[in-house]
Amino acid sequence: MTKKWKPYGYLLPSFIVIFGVILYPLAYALFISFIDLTRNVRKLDDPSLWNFVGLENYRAVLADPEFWHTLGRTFYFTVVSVGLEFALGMAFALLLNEKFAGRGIVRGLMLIPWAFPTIVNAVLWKWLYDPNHGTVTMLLAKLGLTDGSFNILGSSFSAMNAIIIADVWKNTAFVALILLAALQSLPIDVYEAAMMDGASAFRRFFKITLPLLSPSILVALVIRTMEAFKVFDIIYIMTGGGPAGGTQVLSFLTYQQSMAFGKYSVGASISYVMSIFIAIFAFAYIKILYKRAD
Amino acid sequence: MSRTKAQQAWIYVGVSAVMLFTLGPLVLLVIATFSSQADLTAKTLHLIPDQWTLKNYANVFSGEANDGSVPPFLTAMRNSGYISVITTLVCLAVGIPAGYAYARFRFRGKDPFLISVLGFRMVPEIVLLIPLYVIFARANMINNKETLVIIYAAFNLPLVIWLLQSFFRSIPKSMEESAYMDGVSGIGFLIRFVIPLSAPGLIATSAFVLLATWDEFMFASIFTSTYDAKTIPVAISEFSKRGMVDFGMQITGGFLASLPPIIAALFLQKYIISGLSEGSEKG
Repeated sequence: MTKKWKPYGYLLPSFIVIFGVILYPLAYALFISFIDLTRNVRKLDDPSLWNFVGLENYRAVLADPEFWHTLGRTFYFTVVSVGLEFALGMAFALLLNEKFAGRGIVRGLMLIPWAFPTIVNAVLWKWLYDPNHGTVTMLLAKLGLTDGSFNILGSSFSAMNAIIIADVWKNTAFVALILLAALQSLPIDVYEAAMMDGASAFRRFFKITLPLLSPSILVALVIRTMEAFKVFDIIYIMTGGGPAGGTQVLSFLTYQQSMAFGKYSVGASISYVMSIFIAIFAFAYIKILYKRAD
Repeated sequence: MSRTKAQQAWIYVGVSAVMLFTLGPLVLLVIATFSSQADLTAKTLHLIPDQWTLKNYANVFSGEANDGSVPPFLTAMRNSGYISVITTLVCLAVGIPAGYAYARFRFRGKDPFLISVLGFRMVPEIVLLIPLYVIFARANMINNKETLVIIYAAFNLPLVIWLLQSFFRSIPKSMEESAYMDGVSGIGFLIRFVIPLSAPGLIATSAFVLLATWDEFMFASIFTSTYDAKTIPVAISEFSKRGMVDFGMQITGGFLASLPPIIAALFLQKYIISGLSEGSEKG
C-alpha cells in the first residue's frame, strides 16, 4: 500500500508549486477575462461587483483593428528574428564544427551573448541607436547610407528592424550552440563514405547534415519561436511600443492595458488569445520531443 | 580530412567574422564605460575616447546621478543575487525528488504528468502576470523578495524537472539494485548515489535557473516598488527612465550587472553545453 503511493510523495511538492503558481492562476486569469475588472483589484472581494460579461472582452479585443495590427507585428518580429537567428546560427555552427586553432575559445566566447542579460542588451543597443550620438547612427551617416539627422528608432519600420537586430545579436548564440552540439554528435563515417562517393560539400549538407540534424533544428526553432512571440523586455526599454505604436507587440499590449491602464480583464483576454498561438507552437514541440523520448 | 591552404584561410576569415559579430557590440560597451561624458555625447564618430576615465564606475557605486535620484546599484545586485540563489535552491529541492520519481518509478498517470510538465514550461508568463498580480496584491505580498522567489521557482520548475529526469535516467539500474542489496533505498539512495552521480547535470540545471532568474524583468518590475526589493534589471531600466539619461551610468551599471552571468557561463561552460544538448537531443 505505502509502496504504491511512494512516487506521489516524491511528486507532491512539485504538484503544489505548479498548481499554486501556474495552474490556479491560469484558471483565475480565465475568470478575470469573463468579468469586468478595471482599476481596483479590491472589487474581487465583493461578488456583487464582479459584473460577468461573458465573452464581451474577447469580442471587444477581436473587433479592435489595433489588436490585429499588433498580432501582425508580433508575427513579423517572430518570423524575421527567428529566421535570421537560424540562418546565422547554422552558419556559425558549421564553421565552428571545422577544426582550427582556438576553436574551444571561440565556442566559449559564443556563450557571452547568450548569458548577457536581456535588459542590458536593450540598453546597449538603445545607446548604439541613439539619434544624437549613437555609434550605429553615426556609422550609417559616415557610410553615406543616411543623413546625419536620421533617427533609427524614430520610424516604425526602421525601429522594428533595429530591435530585431538587437534580438538576433543575443539569441543567435543559443541556436548556434545547440546546432553545434548536435553536429558534433553526428557519425563521421557517413561523411567519409559520402566523400568517397564524391558528393560535393553542398550535397553533403542538404542530403546528410540537414536531415540528421532536423530534430535539434526543430527544438531550437520551436523554443526560439515561442520566446520571440512573447518578446517584451527589449521593446519596453528600446521603444515602449513606439513610435506611434509601430513596435507594439502582444506582450506589451497586454502589459499596457492591464498595468498602465488598469484594464485587467481586457489584458487577461488578450493574453489568453495570445496563449492559443503559443499552445500551437507548444503542441508541435511536445510532439517532437515525446516521439524521440520513446 | 586535409584542407587546402585556401580553404584554411577562408575558415579563419569566417571565424573572424563570427568573432566580430559576437564581440563587437561588447567591445563598444566596455570602451564606453571608460569614456568621459564629453566623449559619450560627442556628435562625431569616435570609437576610442579622447579621455579615459573611471568616473562612470565611481558614479554607479556611489549611487550619484546627475539628478541625484538613482536606485542604489549594490542593493539591487544583492537583491538579484539573493533571489537567484534561493530560487535555484527551491527548484532543486522540489525538482530533484520529482525528477527522480519520473526517472525511476512506474505509477499511474506518469506519462500524462510528464507531458503536462512540458506543457507548463510553455505557458506564457504574461498570462500569469495579471492573476498573480491580483492574488499577491490582495494578500499584501507585493514588493517582497520572497514573492519573486515563489514565482520564479514555479516558472523554472518544469524545465528543471524535465532536465533532471533525463539526467537521472542515465544512472544504471544495476547500481540501484546493488545498493538495495546493501540496504540502501529510497531517499538514502537518492542522496548518497543519485545526487553525487548526476552532479554535472545538477550544475547545468542550476546554471540555467540562475541565469534565467538574474535576467527576469517583467515580473520584477511590476512586483517591486522600493529599492529594498528591486532587482538589478529593474534598477538598470530606471537608470534609463529619467528625462535626461546618464549614458555613462546606465551602460556601466549594465556592464557590471552582466558580469556575474557571463563569468558563471564561462566558468560552467562544459556543463552548460552538455545541458543545452541534453535539452535538445534527448528532450
